[in-house]
Amino acid sequence: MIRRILGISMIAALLVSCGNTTEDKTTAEEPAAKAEVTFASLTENPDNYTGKEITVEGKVVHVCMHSGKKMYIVGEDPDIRLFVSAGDDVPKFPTELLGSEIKVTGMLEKIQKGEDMESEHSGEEGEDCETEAAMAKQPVLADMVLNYSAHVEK
Amino acid sequence: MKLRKLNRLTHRDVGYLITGMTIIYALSGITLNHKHDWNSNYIIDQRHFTTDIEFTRDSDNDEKVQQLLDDLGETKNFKASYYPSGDKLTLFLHGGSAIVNTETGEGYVERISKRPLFYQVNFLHYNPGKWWKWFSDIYCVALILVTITGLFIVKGKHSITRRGAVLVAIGIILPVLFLFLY
Repeated sequence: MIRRILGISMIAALLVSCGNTTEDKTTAEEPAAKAEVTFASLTENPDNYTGKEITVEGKVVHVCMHSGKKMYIVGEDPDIRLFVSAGDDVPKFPTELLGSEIKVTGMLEKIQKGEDMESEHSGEEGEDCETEAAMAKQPVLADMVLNYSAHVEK
Repeated sequence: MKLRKLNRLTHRDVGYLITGMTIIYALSGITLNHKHDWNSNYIIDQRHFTTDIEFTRDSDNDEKVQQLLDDLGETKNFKASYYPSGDKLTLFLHGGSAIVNTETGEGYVERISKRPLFYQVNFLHYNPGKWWKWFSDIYCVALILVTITGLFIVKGKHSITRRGAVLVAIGIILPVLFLFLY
């Protein structure tokens, strides 16, 4: 009996670890009908949406390869990125999202200057992340974070 | 039941229960320690190339992108392109990307696949959700319990009051030394 349980446990562990490597477990629930905002209007008036739950559409141009908890999306202007943070209660973003057009819903918040900005943006990927360095120089949205709650791929 | 027997049984059974979690955290802990040396989440294969195609940000690059994709044999995998300021053009592909330095024409196609076992243990280590958070908290408490009960398993010259005391002291002094070193 014990041998069977151990055997089944090991087979299950092997199946999970060697199984489908393309599918991810990230939640892709249908975003609730929150304020749907175009990337352009977000860029023009980010303060109008600060502290609100919004849905914005954009192209995923970077996903953190280590923690998977961070991604960046852009709209029409490839130089204006929006930082999307998965937070503690959301599984990692799959790298399969790279290059995809998505609608992402979350709470837009301003990152406080100082330690908060540092911790949110340096994170697990370290100081060698080009996207983070580029984002720090952009004129708008550099100090904003969208705290993710859901997304759908277009 | 005698206290010592209860201690031993607790140590044994809780120890059995947390074997899987200990291996998950230990394995992912090692890989995360070396995250700047080795990408434990993904296997990344790079194929380098050079192109004569001249890309410019101020013109429509669609045809040029198509030409490059044809040259690379990646047309069917193409998802989108991304060309921000600078000299780096990224073509997102299914299962990877192609990155070109538009100044030098040098580039590479990068194929990304999840590294079996390590991807999954790292996924869990990074706290994928609130239920896992509570589950791993329980594991941590259980680990403390196993450690403390382990101190009182044996009697005599190898017990916590003799040889055990020395070894425990060494185990505490070593990390404290690192605190002073850093």
